[in-house]
Amino acid sequence: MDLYRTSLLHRHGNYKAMSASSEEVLLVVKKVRQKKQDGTLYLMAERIAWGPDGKDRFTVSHLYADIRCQKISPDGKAKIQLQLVLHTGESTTFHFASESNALRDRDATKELLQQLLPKFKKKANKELEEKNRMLQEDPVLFQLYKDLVVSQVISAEEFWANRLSMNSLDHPLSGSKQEVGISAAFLADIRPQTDGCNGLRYNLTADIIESIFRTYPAVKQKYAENVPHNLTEKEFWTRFFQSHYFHRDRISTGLQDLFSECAKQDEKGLKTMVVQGVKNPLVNLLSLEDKSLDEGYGAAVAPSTSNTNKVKENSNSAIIKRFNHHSAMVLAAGLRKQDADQGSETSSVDGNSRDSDYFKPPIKKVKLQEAIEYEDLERDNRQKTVTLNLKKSDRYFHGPVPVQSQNYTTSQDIINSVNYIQQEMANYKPSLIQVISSSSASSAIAALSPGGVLMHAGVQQAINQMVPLDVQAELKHLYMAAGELLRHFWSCFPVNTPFLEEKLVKMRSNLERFQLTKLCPFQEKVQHQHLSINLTGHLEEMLQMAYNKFHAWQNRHMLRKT
Amino acid sequence: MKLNIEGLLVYFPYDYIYPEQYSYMLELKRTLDAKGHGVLEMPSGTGKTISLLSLIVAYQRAYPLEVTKLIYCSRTVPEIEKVVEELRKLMEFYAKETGEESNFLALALSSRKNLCVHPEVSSLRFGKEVDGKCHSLTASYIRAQRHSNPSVPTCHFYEGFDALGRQVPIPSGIYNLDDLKAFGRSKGWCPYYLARYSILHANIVVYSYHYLLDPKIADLVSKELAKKCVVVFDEAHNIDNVCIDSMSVNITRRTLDRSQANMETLQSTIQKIKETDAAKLKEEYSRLVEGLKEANVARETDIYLANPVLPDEILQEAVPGSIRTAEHFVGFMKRFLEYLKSRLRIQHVVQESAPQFLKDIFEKVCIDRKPLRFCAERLRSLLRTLEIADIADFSPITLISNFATLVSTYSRGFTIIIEPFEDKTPTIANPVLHFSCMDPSIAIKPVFERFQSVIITSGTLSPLDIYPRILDFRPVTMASFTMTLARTCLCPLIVGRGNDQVAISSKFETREDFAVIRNYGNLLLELSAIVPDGIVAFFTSYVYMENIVASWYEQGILENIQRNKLIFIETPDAAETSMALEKYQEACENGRGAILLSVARGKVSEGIDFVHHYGRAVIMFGVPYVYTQSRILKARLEYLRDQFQIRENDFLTFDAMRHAAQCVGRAIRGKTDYGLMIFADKRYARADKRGKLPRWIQEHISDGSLNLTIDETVQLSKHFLRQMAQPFRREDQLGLSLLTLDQLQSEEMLERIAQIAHQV
Repeated sequence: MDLYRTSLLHRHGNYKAMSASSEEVLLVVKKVRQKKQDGTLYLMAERIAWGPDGKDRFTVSHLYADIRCQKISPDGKAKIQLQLVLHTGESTTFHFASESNALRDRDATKELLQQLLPKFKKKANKELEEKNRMLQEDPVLFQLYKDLVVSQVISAEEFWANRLSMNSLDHPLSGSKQEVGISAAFLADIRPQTDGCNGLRYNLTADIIESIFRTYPAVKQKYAENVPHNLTEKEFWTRFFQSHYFHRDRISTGLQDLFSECAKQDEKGLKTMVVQGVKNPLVNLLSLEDKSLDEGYGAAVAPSTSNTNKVKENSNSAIIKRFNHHSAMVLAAGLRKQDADQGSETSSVDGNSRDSDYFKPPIKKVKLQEAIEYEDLERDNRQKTVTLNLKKSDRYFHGPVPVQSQNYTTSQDIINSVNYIQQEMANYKPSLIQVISSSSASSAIAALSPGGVLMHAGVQQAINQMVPLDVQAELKHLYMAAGELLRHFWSCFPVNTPFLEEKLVKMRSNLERFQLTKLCPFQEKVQHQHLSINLTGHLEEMLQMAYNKFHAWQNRHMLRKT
Repeated sequence: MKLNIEGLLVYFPYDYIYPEQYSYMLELKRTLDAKGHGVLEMPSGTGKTISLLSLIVAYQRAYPLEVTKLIYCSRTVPEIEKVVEELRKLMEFYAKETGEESNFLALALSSRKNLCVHPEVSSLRFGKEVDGKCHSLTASYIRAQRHSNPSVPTCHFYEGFDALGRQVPIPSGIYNLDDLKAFGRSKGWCPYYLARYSILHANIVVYSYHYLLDPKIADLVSKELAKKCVVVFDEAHNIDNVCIDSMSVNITRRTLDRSQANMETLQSTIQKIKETDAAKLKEEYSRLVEGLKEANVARETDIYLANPVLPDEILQEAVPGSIRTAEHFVGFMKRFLEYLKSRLRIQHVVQESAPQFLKDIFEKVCIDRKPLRFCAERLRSLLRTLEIADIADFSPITLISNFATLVSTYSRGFTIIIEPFEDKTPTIANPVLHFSCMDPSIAIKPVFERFQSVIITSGTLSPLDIYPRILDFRPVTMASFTMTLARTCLCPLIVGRGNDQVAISSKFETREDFAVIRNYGNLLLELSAIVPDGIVAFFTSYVYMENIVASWYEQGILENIQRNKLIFIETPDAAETSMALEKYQEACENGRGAILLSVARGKVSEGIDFVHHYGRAVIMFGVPYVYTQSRILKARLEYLRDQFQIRENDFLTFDAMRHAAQCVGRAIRGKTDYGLMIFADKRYARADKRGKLPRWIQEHISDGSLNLTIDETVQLSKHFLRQMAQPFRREDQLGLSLLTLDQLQSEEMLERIAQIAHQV
């Protein structure tokens, strides 16, 4: 490596000439053959390129984002190669031909690529595509984009900054692909092959590794702890396959095993699962028996204590335990995601304990009913209903209730009050003496009729007719743009990071710029047309409000600084 | 619907009925009319319980003086609760049809562990702890102490019940365990004692076998139940073992040591009492002189259920003088303990009869037969007099005294086996004295004698005639019912060979054979690929399963099975198995499919149903013979041969086949359910095995499915499953296996129904 670094520094100047714009070159490997031509391989910040010796241009150049994966030739092969597979399905093979250290070259390339590729994998295209899609789908957004970005009120990055994240929050399902379950036999798929000389070879794919991690989180943790600073990936998996953990039937050798801790954790997990017991009382073997015989009675001898101690944890029962555990873990891995979703939901609601238990009949009752049901003896197979799983029943009955209202009513209260009102209504007798005079009644009706004192809806109609359509449209755009900018502005509060501080200042200048470049011309235009109504009053008010807030914050900020 | 069963109006809470249910009710009615006992085998999952309840409730309403009470005994707590729920359904139907609230009282009774509502006591995990703690709060002298010393803790639920619970009867209705608890909580009464008290006037009592068959419990709980009861033992295929278990005693060194400690405690307590309250002991003495008159009167007037541990003879007499005073009795017991200790100091196995034992004890330590017989009663009296708080602590000495009474009372039906060590570990001395009951009729005799009708019923009772013989009673009806089917929803297949033509069998000589194990594995593998959802496989024993699983693992068979389904395996630990079972159901539920490897005679095979998608196939690997090398079993076989003329092999096969039938029968519930029943052993094809399967399974074994290879099995299974996957509508069933009221009344149908019952 050192060699290359020096040569890299040394020759850095030349590459600038070769590539179109200046790029940082991360690694240079000489004596790499491609299509039987000798040449040099360059790994740059965003792409990998190869140029034949003696020419000053690249014949092969791939952006990292285009590369799907890399493959390497197995150890021990005569030719030391590295293949890049592109998303399009094409592939390029490089043959490392340096006599002395071809292997080292190749590995250095591989390691670097390994670090680089994931960074580019998802990001680049997807994001652009997504932005493009959003702009196309949403004309309002597109207009906004034109108003704000094209006219350079704010930069594109700022514009997208919280658009994208918002969007991904809005449609969590559309983005993520469906989770695939885990095959129970994934460990069996890693069939060891003998390589002919007293060794075993295991083939691991990304899917299998994913399966292992999902099923055994303990291994994942070990991996995160040890790779790559303590072990290389290869060493890690080698140890994994050698471990007692993987071969559960082998009795632990007692050596310091990386995975012995995992085994212990599994054991603990299994124990807690067992201690928690089962939810369905019909399968709970512990409470099956009503009355067990007293000690000492019974034809079959209960195992005496001396006996149970002797029954050592032999390998057979270890296998059985392992299968139970493995199946439970595989099953749990499939359900984990759902649980996580549900969990987050409950916690995000309000932290209240779910009272769905209260509404669902107890599981025991349900199971008993299920067990005694004969569907073909019943007359009508009634539609099976699904019990409502309510996190918070009051919400269901009352709709959203403002959080700050302390004295929200319970369902019982509501039922009571409805009853009360019903009662009142039933007992209602108009007392004809206490009515208001006819004159005041008619004036009240007049005030509430269209055009009356209390009905101001007519004004808007007037604007509709008074203002020309193009002005209306422009006003709408102005409102939207202002709204967007103000949203950015207000989202900075509370200002608790330097980043937000910076953004706040910037947003204020953006607002000012908006007022100067957009609002003022519009105002002038309106004045030119001699429209009497103050169309921009509210907009100005909103901006003023933002300025006031900014000043208040600035003053306080200064004060704190001094 | 309302049925007319030979003149009896029966409310049946469904709109349709299976023909066999009608037939079952007919037989049941005839049994009740004759006031006799009956043995009825009805296919599992054809609504046996609701038929029983409908008919007996109707009978009770029609002839309230003839049948006053139904005592329904089942095996497990969930089953008890299921029965009560079905009863609730029936009673709701009655209320709907007649428009009046019935004044029926029905309740479930279970142990304190399931009924206690005391916040501290009910949180204890084991039944024994709950019982002990409860006793220490509610015993009469504890409560008496409270009068003088209010700081003594008592249970206010019990106090509440004691103050009011007996005067005001519990309102009529259906009380499941949870209902009782809720009622007890709301009233502040102890649900357990309330239930125990209420069974005396309840119309229907649902509890477990032990309350009738275990003399220790029956004496406390069921003693006063009236004669005019109908007793039903549901799931009764194992009833003989329950009887035997309740009468057998095992004594180890540890038992003797703890008994010794008990005696020391008793002695010191007696000493103390003598100094403070000598009158109490005197009072007891005079009571003992009078003898057990009270019990005797009760038995003669037929108020109480007889107790096999309290033989008739001793009721006539006073307690012998040699054990009448407390000190003498303690001395006597100590002598007896010493003798037992000396008997456990042996190097070789001893087997002897009760008379031999009595002779030996008389020769060695001059203990007579007569005082031995009074031991159990004498100890109980002493414990009462001494006001022992925690009876549970004295269970070892109670065990010894029960043994003394039993061994001196029954000269036949018991055997004594003293083993110096276990067969598996001949080097470690662990002497055990087995006092083993071989005659199940001893425990159940009082029940048959006392109650007017006893019905023994189950899905698997074949061959029917063996039960009356081993339980020693004369039934008026013995019938086995077939299952009428519009489509053959069960598919029993007997797999005799692997694809390599090697015979598969779990018999001792070949069970470790590699080819057999591999073929078993291939069978499971192939089936796992074609059967949807759940598969349950049963092995003959736990050890065998462990070995097979290990070698399947080595051969990579399990890995291949895992490609198709998840694997769960029963372990000796009940909690672990429960978890595996729940996960298994979860996997069946979410469509992943799973295999449960389990053991015949294990807890899973006895108590868990695998209905619908929880068990689309049941595989029975091998014939589940009991471990035949045990001396206790050998003695029992000998006894059966001598007393009942039942040949050893017949009994062993009967026992194996009832367990096999029990295992495969778990998969079917109702006619909309379906399942494969795979018998993987070539021995099942033999007539003597096949003939002992229940009739409703036997009928569907054709000659063509007797000795299949694995490939053939898979082909037949595929065909069966494909057929079953077709939609199955009510119209397909109606008139054949499902009847409306109109159809039921036709002459032709009644004739056909008469065929369903197969009288023995």
